[in-house]
Amino acid sequence: MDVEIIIGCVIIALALGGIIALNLWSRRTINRIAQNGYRTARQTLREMQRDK
Amino acid sequence: MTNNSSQLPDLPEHVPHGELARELTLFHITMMGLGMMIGAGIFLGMGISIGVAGPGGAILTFALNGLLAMFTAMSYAELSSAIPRAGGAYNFARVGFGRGSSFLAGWMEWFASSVAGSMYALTFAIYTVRFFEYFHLLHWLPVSILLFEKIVAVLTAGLFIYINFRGASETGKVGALITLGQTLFLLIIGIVGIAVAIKEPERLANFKPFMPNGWHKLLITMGFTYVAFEGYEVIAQAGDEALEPRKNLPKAMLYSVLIVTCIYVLAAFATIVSVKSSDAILEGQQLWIWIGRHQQRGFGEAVSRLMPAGNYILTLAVIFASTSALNATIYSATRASYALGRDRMLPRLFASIHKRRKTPYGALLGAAAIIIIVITVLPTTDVASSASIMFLFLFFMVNLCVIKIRRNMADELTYGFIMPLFPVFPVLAILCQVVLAAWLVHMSLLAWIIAPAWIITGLIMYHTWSKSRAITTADEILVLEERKLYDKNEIKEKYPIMVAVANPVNAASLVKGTYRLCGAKDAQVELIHMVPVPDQVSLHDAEKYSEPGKEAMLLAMRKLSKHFPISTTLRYCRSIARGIVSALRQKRVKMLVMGWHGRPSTSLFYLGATIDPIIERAPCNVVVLKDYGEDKMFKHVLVPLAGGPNGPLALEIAAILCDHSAGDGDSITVFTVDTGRRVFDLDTFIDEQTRRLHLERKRFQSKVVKSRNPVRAILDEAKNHDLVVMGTTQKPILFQFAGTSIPEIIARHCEKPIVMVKSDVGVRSWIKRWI
Repeated sequence: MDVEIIIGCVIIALALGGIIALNLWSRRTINRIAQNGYRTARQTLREMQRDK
Repeated sequence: MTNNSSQLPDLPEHVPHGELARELTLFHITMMGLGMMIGAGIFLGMGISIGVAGPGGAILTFALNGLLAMFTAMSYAELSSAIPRAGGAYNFARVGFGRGSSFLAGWMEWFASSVAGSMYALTFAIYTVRFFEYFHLLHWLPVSILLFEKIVAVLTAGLFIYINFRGASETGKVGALITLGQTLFLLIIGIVGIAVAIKEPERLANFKPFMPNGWHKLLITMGFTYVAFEGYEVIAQAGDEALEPRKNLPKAMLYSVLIVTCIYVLAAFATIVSVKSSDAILEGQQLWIWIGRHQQRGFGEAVSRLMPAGNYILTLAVIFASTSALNATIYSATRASYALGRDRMLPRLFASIHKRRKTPYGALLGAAAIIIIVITVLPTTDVASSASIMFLFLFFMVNLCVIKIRRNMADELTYGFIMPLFPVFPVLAILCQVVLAAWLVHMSLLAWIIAPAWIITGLIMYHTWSKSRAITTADEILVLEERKLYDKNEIKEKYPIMVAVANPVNAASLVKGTYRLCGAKDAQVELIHMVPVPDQVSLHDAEKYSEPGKEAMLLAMRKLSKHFPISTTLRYCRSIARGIVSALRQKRVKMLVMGWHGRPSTSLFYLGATIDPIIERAPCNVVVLKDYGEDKMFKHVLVPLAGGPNGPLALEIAAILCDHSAGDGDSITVFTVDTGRRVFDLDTFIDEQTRRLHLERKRFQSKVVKSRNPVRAILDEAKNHDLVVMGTTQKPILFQFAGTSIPEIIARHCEKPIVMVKSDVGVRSWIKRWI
């Protein structure tokens, strides 16, 4: 198969995968912030670090 | 962002003329975003993209543009979750950069959205008229087709302005239905394309050559189709009308980018497999060349061969697409000018809300005027390019805002969403937008005349009208009083030290330390007091809370003014830390001295809600004094070091604060703990620093203690000393929220007076913090 096609397919997959991953991550973060009632950025980051 | 309060304008509490109705759901606002994205741009741009970048390039264009749009969407999502108000980029700029920048953002947004609206109204008119022409239904027309198109465009714009006037719910519902229709249409095209490719795999041969004109053509097609991804702006405008805005606005932005990218990629794929390479219609050409030759009509020509009645359905889809985009852009333009009117940067009429409909009818009239003028008078294509430039400027500004606001107001705003890997995405978005804006220079010369002309008009408007009338928002910093007690010409070369005083007790404890520091540095002193006003109290009443601060400054002035030139400033800001950091920048201060009561207000902070942000962001050296009483003597000073960048400043401050007189037995112990890892070479460090600072070497002694618990070892050693001087933590800002910090734990538990120092090492410090 053409090298350009392989590279192109990999880039498309990475771009779409990146968008989907960012969407999933963001959705989880938004729900977690809403459920736990975090307020400031400092508090949210700290609680998220703590969860890890 | 600093405002002199001598003439306080009217405050936000007195402004509202009513409120917008809050009734848009997550579905409505997602559809509004999609509606603005799937405008006419994608239908017109697909054929051109395939012609310029080739079959593979077209799919790559939409996938990569989706990823780029995601970066800016993350910035919009974070900001609109923290500042969910109508105005979008205008509000973000107001909070991040102050009045001037925000006016410009709102001014550009108003124009860009209105012009985009007129373009969509014209697109609708052109396709509708052609549709009727195709069936020979317009031969009776007494006017030319061109004039008839303009009349239809004006009538269409009028209809959608009326729908917007009917209310947000009607706007959202009508827009949602139209958008759902066109989204489903594109989805069906994509699914049919996949089905056809599975049934007849030989159609995949159309992908060869994959990038016939080279990879660099991607940049051109990405710039050309970027406009088809900018729907998050209209979602941000719905902050006053969306249900659960902190949660729904960011979700809608991110979902709309995901949906639109998948649909565009599917539609591009379907276009490329729409015709077999052996089909007679291609006349021996490759498909991508054939589509490219049809330019804007390429998508339609290809799709009409993919499915029965494709041409008619596509025409209807373009009509739907342009009306939904028109609906969304009118909404966006209206909310931008409404926000300007609400803050009195435009006449009050723009902030007027209809009593029954709850819609901003004044702002609607303004947007309608621009849309109709552009439809009837101006060359739409070039004006639309200038709208693209302004959208790029806006996104550029929003990406800067998200960095500045997270940095300066992370402890003030209530966030509904926090982006990951901050600030990687906004920085990447800024870089890409610079490249795309540069490319637009070559696209339309007139666009680069219209855009600056509109901006210059805005600047004139701001300086002659808006600046003096704009209301003060709760996020601004007010200067309540400023005094200088010296002749400015006397102190040209003095070292500027700012002393933050909170109350008379705190001021008394700071005087001795300040006196020593100022004496050693040959300094001029700027006393600052940030007036603490409760959130629910009007800014007009800020002065009522200033008495303890005035008393504290008077006390400090009485003791220091005999020896040093003194000036004072009394300010108000909802966040004391932000107010002090702003004053440090404005006054170009080199050292800040402040007191610490010894306990953090909440577990979120090491030293306190005010001190932590100041230490993180102060553009100068910071010295924090704890229990530094006026009557105390400090003969034996302990300086615990671990090789961090604050070490030299800690040593210098220790030498200044140690009570030293001839023949006296004072000593400064430079101390480190050997935990089994690399041991800091204390003697070499002391030699270098005493030479640099011209200090007596014999005043310093080094001490190394072996221990696995450095906190315990330092606390034990501190018992033998009168004062402890040490640096604050230097962890990168991204990790400061995690775990614990040794200096701050020591500071909390040490029973002896403590001085914490943070050294400003300029750009190096800034880069290190971000990396």
